[in-house]
Amino acid sequence: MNLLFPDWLPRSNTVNLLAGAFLLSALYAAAQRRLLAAITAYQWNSVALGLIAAVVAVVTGARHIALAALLVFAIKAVVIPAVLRRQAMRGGGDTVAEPFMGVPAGMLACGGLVVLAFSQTRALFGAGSSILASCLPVSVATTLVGLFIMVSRRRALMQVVGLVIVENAIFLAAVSLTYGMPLVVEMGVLLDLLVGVALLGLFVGRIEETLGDTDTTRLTSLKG
Amino acid sequence: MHAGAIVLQTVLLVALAPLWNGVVARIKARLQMRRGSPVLQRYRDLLKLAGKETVLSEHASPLARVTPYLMLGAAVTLCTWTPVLTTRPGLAFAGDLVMTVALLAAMRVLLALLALEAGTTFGGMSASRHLALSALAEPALMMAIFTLALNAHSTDLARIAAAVEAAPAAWISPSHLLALTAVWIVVVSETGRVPVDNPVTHLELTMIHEGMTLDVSGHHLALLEWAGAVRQLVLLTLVANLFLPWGIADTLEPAALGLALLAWLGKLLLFAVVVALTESLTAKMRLFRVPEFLGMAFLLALIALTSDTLTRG
Amino acid sequence: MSLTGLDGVLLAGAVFGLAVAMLLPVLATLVPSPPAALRHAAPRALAAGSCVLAAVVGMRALAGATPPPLAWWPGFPGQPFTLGPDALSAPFVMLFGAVGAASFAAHAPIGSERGASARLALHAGFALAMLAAFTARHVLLFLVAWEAMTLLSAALVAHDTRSSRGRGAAYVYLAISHAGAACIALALFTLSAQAGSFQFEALAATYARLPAAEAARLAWWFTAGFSVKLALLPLHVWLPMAHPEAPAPVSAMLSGVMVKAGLYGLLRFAWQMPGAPPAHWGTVLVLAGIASMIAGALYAAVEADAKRLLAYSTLKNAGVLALAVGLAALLAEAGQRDIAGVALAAALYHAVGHGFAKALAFLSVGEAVHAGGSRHLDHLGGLANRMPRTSIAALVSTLALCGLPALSCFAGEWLVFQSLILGYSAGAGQLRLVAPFAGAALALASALAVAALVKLYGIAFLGRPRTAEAAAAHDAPRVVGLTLLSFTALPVLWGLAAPVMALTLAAPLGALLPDFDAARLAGEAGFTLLPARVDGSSIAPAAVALLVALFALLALAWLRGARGQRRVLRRAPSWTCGAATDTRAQYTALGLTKPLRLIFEPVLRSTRELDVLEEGSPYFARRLRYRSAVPAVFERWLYQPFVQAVVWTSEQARRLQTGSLHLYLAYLLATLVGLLLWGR
Repeated sequence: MNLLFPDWLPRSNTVNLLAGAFLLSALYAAAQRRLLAAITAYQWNSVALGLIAAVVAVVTGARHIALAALLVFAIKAVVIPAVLRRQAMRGGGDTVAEPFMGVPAGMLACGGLVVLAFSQTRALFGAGSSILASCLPVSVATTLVGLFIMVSRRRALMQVVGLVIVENAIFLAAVSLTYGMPLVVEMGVLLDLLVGVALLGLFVGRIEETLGDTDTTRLTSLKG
Repeated sequence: MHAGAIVLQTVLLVALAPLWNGVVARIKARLQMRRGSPVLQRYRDLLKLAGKETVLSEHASPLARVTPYLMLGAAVTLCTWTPVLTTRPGLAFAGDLVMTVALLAAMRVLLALLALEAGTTFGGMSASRHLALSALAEPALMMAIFTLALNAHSTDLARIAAAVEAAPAAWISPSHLLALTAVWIVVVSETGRVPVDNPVTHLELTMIHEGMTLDVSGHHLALLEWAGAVRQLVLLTLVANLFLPWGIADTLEPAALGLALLAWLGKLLLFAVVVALTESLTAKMRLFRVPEFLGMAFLLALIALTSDTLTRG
Repeated sequence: MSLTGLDGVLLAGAVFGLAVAMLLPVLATLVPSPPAALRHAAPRALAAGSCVLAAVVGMRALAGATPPPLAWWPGFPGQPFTLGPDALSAPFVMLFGAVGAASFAAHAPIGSERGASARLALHAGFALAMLAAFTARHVLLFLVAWEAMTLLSAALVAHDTRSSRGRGAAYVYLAISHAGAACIALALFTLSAQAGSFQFEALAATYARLPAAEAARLAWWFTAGFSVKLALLPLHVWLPMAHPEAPAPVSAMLSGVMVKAGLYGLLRFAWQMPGAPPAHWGTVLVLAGIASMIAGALYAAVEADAKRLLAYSTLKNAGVLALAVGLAALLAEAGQRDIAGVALAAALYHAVGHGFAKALAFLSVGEAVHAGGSRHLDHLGGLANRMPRTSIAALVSTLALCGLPALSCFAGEWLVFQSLILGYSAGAGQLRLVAPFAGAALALASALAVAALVKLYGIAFLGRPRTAEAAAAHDAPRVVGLTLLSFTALPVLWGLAAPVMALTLAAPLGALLPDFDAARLAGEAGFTLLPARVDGSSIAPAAVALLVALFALLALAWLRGARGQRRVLRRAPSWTCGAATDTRAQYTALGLTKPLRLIFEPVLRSTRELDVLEEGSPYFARRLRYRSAVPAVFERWLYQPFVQAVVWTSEQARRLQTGSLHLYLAYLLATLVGLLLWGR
């Protein structure tokens, strides 16, 4: 234990650092105009998540959380970004699609959302006493940021990136509140996510073949 | 209940039914300065008809052969529990006010079906008028006698007569008089008298009751006419003995029965005079004024009923 | 599933028989070339036999032999589905069995082969659902059966897929029935949640212990839901639309039995389970009953479509049932429990009696309509001479529905009149005000219904045929004809033996009013019907029938003997002033009741269009077009505004649907932000 967490680096501080990295990577993804950069930001996001899970595993000594952390690394940090990158490459490369609002305005909005999340989470859930106390506000903030990415981007794959960031944030909330979920649930969720992303990638490809580009504003003609 | 009394009442009603029509016709003739046919003429007519050949329409269904018998059967059945001379119950276990109205309705239904058997326009015309007027007359009749039934706490006709007789002061109460008026209007309508229908008309377009028997002949016609006469006499007896039961016997002593017989015949004669005068002095109404006439009867009956409720509290 | 005793075996036989009858036509389509018997004759016979078993179960339950319920393990975990007849459902099960057997026996294949086996399968499924609804003792089983009853009968209503009228009728029927079922489900689930169990016994125990306000609220939900099925005004609009469109045997079951399921639900859930109905329940039912009676009779009198006329007559009789039950509730509330028993006996007797008569009417009129080729009365005529067996059945059922004394619909109305008079004398406040109007309304409705039914039989069966198809009509096939003739015995028996039949209703009456002695309804030896008071009045339908027959025979004997009348009568053309007239010179259906329509014009507000297409001279036109219609008042003034409001609201709500994915995601984000802000 002491090797991993020397006295000058308390466990809670480690977790806070990782949580901060988590949030920052999400904000970085929100600030990107290029798709590949956003996918990379998502990768760092997943790495941070996996490390937090690993700390929890070390602290609690539970095996299933260690397994979950490994799975997070494997699937969220490796497989899913690879799938997304391949789809991005196939679909006309790293083209730049205009978001609805400019990057500065977008960052301002994200900042507002983060502030809102932090203040309200504290009011709703209190300060929290465990070492993972900072994770809950971060996860709520990241959820909002991820949703914002989905709202403000035109390109379908960017919306998928926003979606998987939201999924990460929810996983973080689960880990911080209950020290991880039962393994079965964990694996189920991950499987779900994998399949979902694969399907989304497939559909994005089909949209592109049919419509020529993946500008989702053109889907309005499907209105019932 | 005494079997002899029942048979006596029934025979009286059945036997005297055609006589009443004869009396009315004779009085009308006298009012018109004619001698008129003998009062027993109706009997001769019925006997003559009963012996004549009966011809059925080629379109008539097997029902047309049975209907006249059923009508006479129903009319005579009504007589067995109608209080004629006494308030001792006749076959009252078998029938009461509601059963009476239902049997009258049954006769009406059978007659309307008989009218439609021949597939002629006149039959349909008469049937449609008859149905429409009866649809208004039957509720009025039911309501008027219902008023009496509520007072007597029973729908048994003999009991109603006894209850009304036991309280003579109630005869001149407003609800009683209103109900009597309503019932009289209904009786005029159901028996096809002026001002609702002219019983001696020969114009098919003005017929209501006569038109339904245009295709009936021979003994069927005799049965129908007799059934109609019996029905008419039953209705008049109900008016006489339920609304004006003066003179009706409470027991089965011969003296009381004799007095009741005289009282009943006197009331029938009075009704005959009233009807004859009405027929001679008024004209037949237009067909579509008759519903207003009957609607008035219904309204009077309803007022009679509710005024009873309101005055009793 | 445990089978105990004979009744258990019979009930299981009925249920399984119907289930197999439902599946056989379906399975037969999987086989490449199935024999015709397997597709139609075998399931039909099986279903008819199962219904006979169900009738026997009902009769045994009426006689007092109530078996322990059958338990079915595929229920909720720990609570098997239970079903079995008890005292209250016994008369309804008996009615279902008798009517079901007749309707299956009369369900001959019409139209194409494929349609026929589908119809039979749906018919059998419908019957199974109805039996389950009457005998269910488990909430989920009851609700599933109730819904299945509605869905399967709606499929049958829309069976003629080319008719847009049938589709529209099925749609309205489904919509209104689902609204009613939602009320019932809401109340049942509330009650089950409180009781902690789905079995009816547990529900009854909880219901009886609830505080009065809450029990009343539940009872009103039940009343709303079951009034839809009983078709009380103003929830009746589906009845005249849906019943005519279904095939005739199915209409017989719809009008004869399914409407009574509403009555059963009212009695069980709003009276028996809570012990007594809530305050003012009786008044509401009486008022709804009076309105339904008069509206049904009036619209029947001005209707020219044979099956729709019968549907309106069902509406009128549903009103009579509601009136009787409402009276009973008012009397029970006022403490007059023996008179309340009389009114309840009236309701139960009339439910069964009307079921028999109406089923027979639909079956025979259905055969006539099929033979004559049209549902419109003006295209029929003269069928009595061409279809003797069918016309006898139609005549008996028409006379029974008119309320003639020795037939099945009279004694119920007689008992209602008795309870009105006795209740009035006993004098409870509300009842004294209501009784005169109820009596007047009942008399008026009966008179109008008589006009309607005379029109039905007179125009369709009597006179001369108005079209070539009617002239070429031939009688029903042998099996159907025999079924009709033997089923004719039921309304006659139920009416003639009215006192005895009223005595058999002792068990259900005891379930509702425990201190009522049903034996006082009949006089000595069960010959006379009494209103539970010895000094009141009485009737003896059998005696009346005997007297009528006696006097008729006396007259016949005298005429044959003394006056020498022959047996064979000469036939001659009808008298029409000596001219030979066209068959269309007879009265039409609308013409026969036109005086009534004119009298009630302020209420009916019929529309009338007369166009002169070709003028011959100023007084005689060569060609005319005449169109007359009675507008559907409730649809126009009550339902259409409601539907239009719903549609308008949906149109406004649709503005949220722009089709833009980003906007939808923005809705999500906004919702989350909103939740965070106002989470406290």
